[in-house]
Amino acid sequence: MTDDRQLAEALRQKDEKAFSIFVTRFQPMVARVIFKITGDMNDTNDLTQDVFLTVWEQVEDFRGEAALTTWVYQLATNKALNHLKWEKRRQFFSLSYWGSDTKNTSLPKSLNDAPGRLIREDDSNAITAALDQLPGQQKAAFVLSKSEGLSNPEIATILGLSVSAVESLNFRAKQNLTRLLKTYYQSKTT
Amino acid sequence: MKATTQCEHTEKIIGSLLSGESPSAVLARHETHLAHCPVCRTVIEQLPGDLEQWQNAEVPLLPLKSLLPQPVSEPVHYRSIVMRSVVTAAAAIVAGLLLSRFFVPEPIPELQNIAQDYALLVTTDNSFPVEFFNE
Repeated sequence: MTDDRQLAEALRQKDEKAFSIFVTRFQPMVARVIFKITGDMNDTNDLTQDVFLTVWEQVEDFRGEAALTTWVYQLATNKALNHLKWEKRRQFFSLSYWGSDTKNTSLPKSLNDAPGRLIREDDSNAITAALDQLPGQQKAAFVLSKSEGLSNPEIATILGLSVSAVESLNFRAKQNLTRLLKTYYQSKTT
Repeated sequence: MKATTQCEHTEKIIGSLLSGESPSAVLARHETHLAHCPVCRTVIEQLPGDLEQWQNAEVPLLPLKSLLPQPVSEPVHYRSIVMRSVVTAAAAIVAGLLLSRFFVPEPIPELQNIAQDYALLVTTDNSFPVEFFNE
């Protein structure tokens, strides 16, 4: 059962063996994308489970117009981006956000642009640390492009945007990352 | 040489590396500058490695079993639970009313005696203030 269409058809029939094949094939990709967008392993595990539950329950939504891989990328990216939005809202309404001591460190990541706080100090990888500061969609576009090696039209389909919007997202992501990485490497040198 | 924090080459070098240009090509283009700028040297030494590590990062996978569909227990329909409770309560009330028609309580002898004494008193003693009780 190597063909995507065959696999999707078997999933529609609620074939558990086909679902095992599907999970084995797609779990590394789903977990990798979610982890690189959310940056948290616990969230990654929860959202990965959520993605496969959605596949099992809503496989009828897959109409076969795009590749099965694109549909799975779409589910994983949307779950991760929705989680980031929810997390941002949760942080905003949490008591610690308004506390004088913790307010700065719990600011939504994209709003936190004080030079000294640009990079999380505990991160050993500069890219992970800098990506953490990017807005969700920029982060998703960068991950899909640089980590997954997808083209702009493919990313546009996954994010439900135009190709020019994706180009713009990638441009701004690169610009922001350059600024953040410059600060990071300067702090490591001095 | 400008102070390292003001170096204008750093952003160009980072941008080139993020765009996928090979470190050796970037190194060749900025060779003269790199000899004097410690920040740009740190970038060229560390960023390609960081980028590669990030791209090839392995994420631990969940056991297959935890991702397979689990048998789902019967869903709980709260509305039907409420309806069932209301119908049961109504049936109990109706049954109670019906039973009460067939249930005639036994007369209590003490109460019967008191009633008889009162009737005798009212009919024989004119001074008894009947109006008081009749009010």
